[in-house]
Amino acid sequence: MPIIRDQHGKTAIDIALEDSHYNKHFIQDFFTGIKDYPIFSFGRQLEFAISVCIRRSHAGLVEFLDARLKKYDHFHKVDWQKNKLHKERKFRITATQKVTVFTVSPWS
Amino acid sequence: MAKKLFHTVGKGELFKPKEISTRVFDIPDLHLKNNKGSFEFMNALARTDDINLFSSKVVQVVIKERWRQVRMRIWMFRILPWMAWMATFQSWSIYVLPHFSDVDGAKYRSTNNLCQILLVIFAIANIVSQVYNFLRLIRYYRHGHKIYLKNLWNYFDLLPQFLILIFVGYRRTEKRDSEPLSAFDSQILSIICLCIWVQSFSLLRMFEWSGYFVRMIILCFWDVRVFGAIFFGAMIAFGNSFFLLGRQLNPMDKDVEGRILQDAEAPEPMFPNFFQAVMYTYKAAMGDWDTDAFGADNNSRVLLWFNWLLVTIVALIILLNLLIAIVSVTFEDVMNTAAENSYYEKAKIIRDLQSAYLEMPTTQDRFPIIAFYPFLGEVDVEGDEEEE
Repeated sequence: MPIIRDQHGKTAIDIALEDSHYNKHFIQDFFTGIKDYPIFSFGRQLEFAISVCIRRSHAGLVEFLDARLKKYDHFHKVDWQKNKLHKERKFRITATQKVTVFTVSPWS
Repeated sequence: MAKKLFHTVGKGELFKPKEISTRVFDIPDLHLKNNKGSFEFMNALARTDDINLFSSKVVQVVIKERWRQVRMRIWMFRILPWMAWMATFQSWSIYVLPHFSDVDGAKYRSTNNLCQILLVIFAIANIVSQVYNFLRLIRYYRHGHKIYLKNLWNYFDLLPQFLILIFVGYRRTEKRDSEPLSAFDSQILSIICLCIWVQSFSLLRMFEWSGYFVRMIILCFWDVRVFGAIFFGAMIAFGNSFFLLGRQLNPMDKDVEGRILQDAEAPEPMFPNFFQAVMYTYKAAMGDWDTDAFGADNNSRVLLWFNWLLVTIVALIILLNLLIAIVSVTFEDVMNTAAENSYYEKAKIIRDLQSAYLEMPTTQDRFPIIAFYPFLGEVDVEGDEEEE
């Protein structure tokens, strides 16, 4: 269970990223194995592991991060249309759903 | 179906969305300002050497959101104070100070006093701000002092502030305020002015249209470091040779038997010192050469011409073209990743500012009830924009 924290608050990937146990193959296997998990699966447990992976310049990190960008059509279209969609800074839900909404460059 | 996204829509234009979809990034709170994980995330991004990381949509979105949190504070505490400081200093050093130093400059006394007070206030406020920033960095990062000391922009930020305090204090305490500017005063003012203009490059990093360009300049300096050592080594080598040859440039007067006359004047050396010889070589490498001094009847003209020929071939033709090639590669690399470099500069700015301007990071809850996930919106529209 690589995403369950132990008594010190560390997951298996946290331990694998420590200097004394560093194993990039395990980390890559781990990322490959969980990148297609359904949404809201394990996000918070990887918060610090991602920072460490960035510092270690882990090769498969970009692929993993973009794979965790999951389609989520929960919001009704009417909610979006109410916001008039002027520009990206106005394209923001502030009423009922407590989420932060912002846009990025074209997906092309 | 025409695909249209928000940033392509002009201000005030409306369009009818046909299909809207959202994506969620499944790692929460990385975009929040009071989260310890987001602090670490931005710190890691600012320290990485892997520029491809910034091509990730997720990384771009998180940086965009974090940037939105600090953008107003940057304008309030960095850009606008710099503009005020710049305007005050330029008007004082260019207009008020020279006139006040004139014979009939007494009418500028109040203006001079006002400018000096403003400059001292700006300087003290900036120094206090830098000290505060430094202390917060030490508090929130393990190697906070290294982060601060490695940032060259901080030196260009602090140096003019200290110099202006010393300069104003010196002129007022020594009662030299109404005296004409000395050469030393002008040198101090020019250094302050130069540092303030360099600061403007630091501020240009904050805009998307210029961030990557500043990064390009920094990388060019970094990439030509080996070349620079070789080039200036060559300058010193040729300069040394020119200096030795230039010491006995003209033959001394001799009698019919070939002996040097008693009243013969010592020949003028071509260069008064070694530094001038190196500078002559540098100017020759830049295309500004003067071969008249070689003369037509000196003993060393063959070697002088040979040296000059070597300088033009090695420095001007080979080394400088090599420099252009090196800079071209850097230019191409940065232009191919212009957006990524712009995000990288933003990440570094956020990392430097987040400890000073943002809220204190809270300890992560082990099992939080509420999590905030960043959402990305995209929209497909059909046909032209519709007016309401």
